Amino acid sequence: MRQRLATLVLLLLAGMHPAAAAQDVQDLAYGEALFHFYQDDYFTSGVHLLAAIDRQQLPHHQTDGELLLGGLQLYFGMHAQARRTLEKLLPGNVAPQQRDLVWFQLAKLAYQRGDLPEANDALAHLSGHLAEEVAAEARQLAGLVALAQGDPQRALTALADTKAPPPWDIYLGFDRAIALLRSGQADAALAEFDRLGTRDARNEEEATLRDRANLAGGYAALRVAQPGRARPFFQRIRLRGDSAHMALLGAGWAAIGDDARSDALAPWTALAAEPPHDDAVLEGLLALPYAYAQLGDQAQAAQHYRQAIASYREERARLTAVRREVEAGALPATLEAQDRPGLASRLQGVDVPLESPVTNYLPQLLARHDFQGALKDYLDLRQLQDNLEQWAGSLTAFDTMLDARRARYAQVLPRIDARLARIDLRALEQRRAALEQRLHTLRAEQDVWEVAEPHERELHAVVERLIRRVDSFPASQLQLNYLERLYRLRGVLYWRAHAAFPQRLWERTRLVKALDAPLAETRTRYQTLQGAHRHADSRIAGLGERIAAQRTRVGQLRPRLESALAAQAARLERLALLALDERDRLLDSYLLQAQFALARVYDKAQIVEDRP
Amino acid sequence: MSTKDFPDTARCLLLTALLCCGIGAPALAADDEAADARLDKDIQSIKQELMDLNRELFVLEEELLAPSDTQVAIFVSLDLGEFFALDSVQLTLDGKVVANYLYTPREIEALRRGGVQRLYLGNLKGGEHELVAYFTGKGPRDRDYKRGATVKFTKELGPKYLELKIVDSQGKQQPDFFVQEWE
Repeated sequence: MRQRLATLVLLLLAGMHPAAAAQDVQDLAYGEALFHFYQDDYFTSGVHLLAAIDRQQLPHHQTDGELLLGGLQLYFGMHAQARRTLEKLLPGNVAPQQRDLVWFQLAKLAYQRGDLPEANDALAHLSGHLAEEVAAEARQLAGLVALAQGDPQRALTALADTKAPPPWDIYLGFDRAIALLRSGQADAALAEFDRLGTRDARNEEEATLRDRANLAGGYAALRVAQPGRARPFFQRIRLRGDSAHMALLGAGWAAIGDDARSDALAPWTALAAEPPHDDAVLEGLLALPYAYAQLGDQAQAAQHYRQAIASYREERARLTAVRREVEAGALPATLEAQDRPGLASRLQGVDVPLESPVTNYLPQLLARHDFQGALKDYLDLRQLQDNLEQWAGSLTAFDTMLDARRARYAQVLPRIDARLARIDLRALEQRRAALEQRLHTLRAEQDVWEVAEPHERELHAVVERLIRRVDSFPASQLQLNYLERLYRLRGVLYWRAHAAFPQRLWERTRLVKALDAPLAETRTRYQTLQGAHRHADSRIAGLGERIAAQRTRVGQLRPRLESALAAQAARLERLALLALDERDRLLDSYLLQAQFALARVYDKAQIVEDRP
Repeated sequence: MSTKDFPDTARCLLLTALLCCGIGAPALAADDEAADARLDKDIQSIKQELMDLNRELFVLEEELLAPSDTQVAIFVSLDLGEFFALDSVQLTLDGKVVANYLYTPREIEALRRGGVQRLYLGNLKGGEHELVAYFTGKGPRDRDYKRGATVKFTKELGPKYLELKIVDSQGKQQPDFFVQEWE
């Protein structure tokens, strides 16, 4: 559920709630980044956004892209970079909703860094333009900041309005109840917890939150000495949830406090039967015989104290085994195997212990905020290490691709050279100019026969030939008649050719003009080919240099990454050992109390036996 | 033993319940805190450098695989998907199959929410080309559905982007498939 919540938070940060309508994407590169983002592949999404911003591929989504990038950097714990990305957006021409989102993210970032005044300052810039869900989270953040600053009254002001889409209304109500409790308004706090603890849950997340509200309500009631009010809270908690052990423990204490001691037996018996891996069960082992002792059943009390002592000793032995495993460096590999089941761990050559004593304690370790943060960084680094190794392999492939391209160029370029040499672009252009000049001359000379149809020209030639022939005959009336008819025919032919001349001339002009586009394209292609040819070597050399530079970077990052991973693994081990120390001390204390209580039971029994 | 033997533990657990974040963190030594702060800073810096490196390599890979002069990229987008549940897409370019893609529910959801998938990246010579995309899935009333979309396009110098769009047509109560050319 934590992962789901983290995702939800991230979605809200980016203003993209799952229930929201699909975004109207106007830049393909932004849509591509979203495609990875919505599949929880945040790293790839961030990389694509960085590349798109660099290549200016987000003309419509520049702000959206940078906002999302800032959110992703925040998610990856890159606080300094996230801050730079977000602050860069503020002076620009940003829509109010986006500006509010930037301030909200900056507030969250400051809160995560522990800079509460700055978080407050960023929240003060909000101008009421956030979407409903994000506005709810902003109110929650304001409440948390106020609580962290020890100002529950201000928290109550921030959390006055708990109306929000689920599950944010539950979070807001929960925090409001805590603020009420801290400001000394126990009754109001219990009423708020009661409201949250009795509402219907529509899904597992809401059911879990309801359990937690009941748990907090029950312990809050115990704290203000109202065990009678605590009991219904504990009774409402599901026995299969992660609050079950604490609920059973609390139910017993509420019964004892409410003077219904026998009612404590059932929850504590159930609790004592659980594996003693968490603190509630450890306390339950001691609580059960205490209840029997309170009810006067010393025999049962003694038996359960003995069982508790045995369990504590066994648990201590298990803790010793866990400590040995942690000290041997098994923890990081175990955590990694839990996070990515099915993947073999290559970490420091340690076998992956999928089932080991450590795994029993993972839920408790993972519940710690500092451990969660350190673990997330560790797993991020491991993922990045895999990513780096993949790129290292790809760089070799890049070399091969470049070699292939180089070889192809070596093969193709001479052929291109030969073809280019054959193309006489100037001659083509001169021919086109000559054609245009010819058309000018035709227009000026009105040479109708030059553009006439072939059959017309042929007919015209025949008529001219006949005129010459007839003209050479001895003069006679017949000759004159023929000549007259032939002149008339020549006139008709000329009239027709002349009438068609403008259209025919226009048609030829159009054809000559139509040569311009292919000629221009040929000129462009010719120049491009010449350019490509000229730059081919420098382009290939440039790509080769870039590959070499990235290889150097990979080589430099490898040891740094390994060293950071080792340091982070050591940190996880240190945190785990500190937690184990604490548990050891708790176990010692319980063991001592159990031994002492058992001695007192024996003493009481002895006194009864000795009584005359 | 009396009820007074337990209050310390109970208070500790009460705090746990109220904070809902497990047991209180164990105290760290000042030296450890300083070392952790340095390590955190170093980790942030490594993450940033790796993100930058990935950006460089992503761009370099694209330039090597498909230089901008000959590059052609084909994208897929989807709107609500009410009338069509996409299963797979097959792409043919000039009669040759260049991509076959089977979608996971997660990818479909990412498309539905506005994500755009780059389905194919390759190279084409300048000139006229034909792209045919076959979409397979479930259509209205959960019936098997296969549709094609064809576009003839001209590849010029510079990258060519084509987007295969699957859009619900409310009027026809059917999905519409078309191809958009991007400049």
